[in-house]
Amino acid sequence: MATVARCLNEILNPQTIEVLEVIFIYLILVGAAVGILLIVEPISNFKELRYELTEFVHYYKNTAWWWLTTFLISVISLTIGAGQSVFVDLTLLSLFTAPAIAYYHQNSPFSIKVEYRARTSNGRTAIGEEIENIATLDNDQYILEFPITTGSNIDEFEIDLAVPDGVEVWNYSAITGVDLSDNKTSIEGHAPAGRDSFVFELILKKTAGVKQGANLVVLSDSSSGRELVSVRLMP
Amino acid sequence: MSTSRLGRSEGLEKYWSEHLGDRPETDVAIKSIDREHVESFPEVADYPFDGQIKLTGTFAFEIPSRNNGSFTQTGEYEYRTASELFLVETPTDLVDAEDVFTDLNQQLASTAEIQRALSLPRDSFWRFIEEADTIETLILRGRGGTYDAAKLLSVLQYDDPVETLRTNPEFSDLRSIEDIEDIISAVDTPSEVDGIQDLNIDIYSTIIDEVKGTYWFCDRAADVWYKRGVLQLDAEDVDAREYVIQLFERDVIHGGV
Repeated sequence: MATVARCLNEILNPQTIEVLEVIFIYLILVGAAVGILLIVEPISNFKELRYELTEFVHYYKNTAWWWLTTFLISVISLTIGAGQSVFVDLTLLSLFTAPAIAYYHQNSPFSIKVEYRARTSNGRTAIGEEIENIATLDNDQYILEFPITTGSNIDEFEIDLAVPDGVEVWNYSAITGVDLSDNKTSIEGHAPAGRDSFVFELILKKTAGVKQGANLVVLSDSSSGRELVSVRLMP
Repeated sequence: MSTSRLGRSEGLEKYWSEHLGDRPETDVAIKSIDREHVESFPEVADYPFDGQIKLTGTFAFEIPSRNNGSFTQTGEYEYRTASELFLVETPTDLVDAEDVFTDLNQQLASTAEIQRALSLPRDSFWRFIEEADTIETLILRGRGGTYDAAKLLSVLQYDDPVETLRTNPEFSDLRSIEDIEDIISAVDTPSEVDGIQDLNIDIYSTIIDEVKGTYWFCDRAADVWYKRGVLQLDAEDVDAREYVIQLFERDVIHGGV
């Protein structure tokens, strides 16, 4: 970075460099503003914004981009030193924020969230099963409860459903406006007016029975492919 | 008292004929098909399927006997073309409605397959349950646990429901529910609670596990039982049965669209 700055100093006069720096800062600020608007615009309140950003950070921290950009910026900062000039700082910052904004743009909204609630056969909460995301047979059926949260910024949602061989969808319980697709491979619809959460119950009936290693029920966001929850069916 | 099990099928009338059951490997045979229009009951306001065609008739079901032979039992069916409800009425416990559905499905095109378990929108189904005259059992599964809301209604009839819940052994199973006291406290005037509509249940986050309710029509009772998608109707006469079906069609089938 310092070499680039030295080369620029040799080629261009200081005034031109200052103008270019101002243009660069301006573009960075406009880019940041557009990025923030992109995130904030469809969100109606602060609570939801906080939730959306928390979920975004949760997912982004697990990507290679997070580690790569963090590592790269650390190396550059150690080599040339941060805080030398606004130009260098903003360049470093943009190295980090640009992929993050691109990732957000590609995978948003993050406010769609699916949890798993496990029960014992007498209906009590099965804490151990819930923590480990496993389901056990109850009269040849697996009863899965998925509390689903959608942000108010989501008009329509589609969650892909993958069910392992050896079981079939026997029944489901949703609310008006939310359905399982005809081929039973996705949950689709819209959250009820005035609220953004509901519980989707899925009852799977044992046919041939699941096999070890191929016993996952997976729910993932249809548009991004992001896995939202997975539950292991115990044979 | 006749017992009907409810299923659902899309476009079944296209495939429904007396030739269903001609295959040798099947145990069910359609014996008759009658067509008539459904007339709405004045007691069911805004019935949305007035004039729909229903196919009714009888079917024979072959049951294997001990000496390698078999004997035949006759049952009745009804298919309502607009609401797509399919009802199977079996005369005795010897014929399992589940077996009838399975045999029929083997002969039907997959597009017209009869759903044996009904997937109902909970908020619409809740409206239908609210219409019941009495509710004997209403097992609900909420965030805090599973409980019988019919018992909860009984607790609310006491002067001090929270104290009754804490001390009366009859309600001991309700005590384990995490937020049960909050549910009771949320009811403004417990003594004036008439039915489940006064309970402030958040049906969006509550699963309906099991229901046993009774609907009265002209001094005739119709009992509805539901559990995990299986819906069964026991009615004292055809009018009481038709009344409950029309309520169900209006509140759940049409209301859930």
